[in-house]
Amino acid sequence: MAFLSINNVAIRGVAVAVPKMVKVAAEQAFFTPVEAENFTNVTGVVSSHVAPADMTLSDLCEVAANRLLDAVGWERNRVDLIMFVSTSRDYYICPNTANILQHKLGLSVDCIALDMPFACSGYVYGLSVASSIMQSGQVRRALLLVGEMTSKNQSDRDKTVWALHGDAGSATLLEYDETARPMQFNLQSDGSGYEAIICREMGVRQPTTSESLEMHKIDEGIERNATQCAMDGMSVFSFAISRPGKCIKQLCEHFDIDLPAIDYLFIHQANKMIDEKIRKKLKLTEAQVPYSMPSYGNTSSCTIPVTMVSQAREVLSTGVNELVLCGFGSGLSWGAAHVFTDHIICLPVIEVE
Amino acid sequence: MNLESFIENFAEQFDDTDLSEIKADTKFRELDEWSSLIALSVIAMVDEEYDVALKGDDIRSALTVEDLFNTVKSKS
Repeated sequence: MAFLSINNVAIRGVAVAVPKMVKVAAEQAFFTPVEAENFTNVTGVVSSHVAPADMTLSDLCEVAANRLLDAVGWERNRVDLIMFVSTSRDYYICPNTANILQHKLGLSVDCIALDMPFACSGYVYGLSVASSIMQSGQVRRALLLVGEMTSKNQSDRDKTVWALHGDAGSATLLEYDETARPMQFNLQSDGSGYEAIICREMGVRQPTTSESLEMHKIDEGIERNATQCAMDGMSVFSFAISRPGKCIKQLCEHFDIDLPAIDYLFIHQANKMIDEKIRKKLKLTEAQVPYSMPSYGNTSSCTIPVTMVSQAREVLSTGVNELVLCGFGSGLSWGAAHVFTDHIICLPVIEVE
Repeated sequence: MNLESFIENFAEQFDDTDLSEIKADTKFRELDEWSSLIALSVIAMVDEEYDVALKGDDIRSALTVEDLFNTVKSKS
């Protein structure tokens, strides 16, 4: 069982940046009118944000990080760790995007820089790794950058993914703090489902060839090439309604957490049908489980910070809150965290031109 | 688990299809009302009633309701 309990690390602040441009789900050409209506009823997604051609995820994370570092008042040269958790890396093979951002943000060379190529489970995994590195006190300040620019690896002619997803990047500041309550994690993996969400011809197992870029019609409203993200919706749905909820229950049993008493469950905004099933199984109220997918869509690993800053900014900024976080997706990979926040700096969502 | 109650649970996922239309040998993907949304409802029903996680291929490779019942049975 991969349970972790990590002492001495506090979340200081969270910021999110999205592209200014909006895509409206119902306006997508691949939907029939009936499909468009069903889509929003089932997924909860009305619109999301989409990046222009010349914008990358690291650009969004850079903006979020700079604004947040300024708001918290940290000197750039006192950041000891920068992590970039995303599959939307500037360069897929090398170098790490975290190094590029270490330089762009003006951080010291005495700084650990590392990438973690996680999709939807990324925020929980990134938090667990960053806080694990920090807990002994040698790394005192960390910048955790998490997000996804799915528009770069999805086909805009694929109704199974394009209308659901949105682009967003986040920055979270973590600090060594001996008064912090422990962060507790339950992390799980199942590689038997590795094909459920996959970009096939984009790596060394199936290298990209000129044929990889040819568009194929898979079905009505579904056209993509072999480098673009393919999702087996039924398999993902089946996984998502069972595993994450169980993972949260195990976390609560193991660490003796009173789940009904938590302030918020910030859950990955997979889609509303999935999240509502999980919420009801856990017997949590609607107020405990806020949703950001109507305006931001499924932003992959960024859904947890997007929901925090867009739906609970006031509460997180002004008090102490007991949270459960849960991410799940490609891998298959999923995890849950139990954390306390204490008057964190929570910036309003930043829109980038 | 028994086939009769599985068929009943399966049939409950449809709104407009008469319950009597759905039998063990019904080729469910040929029903007018069958859709990706009903497929999700069936997956959710199987999760709730039988604690079994069906994969997309399990649905796609089953021809009849009984085929699907056998898949769920072998996984439970």
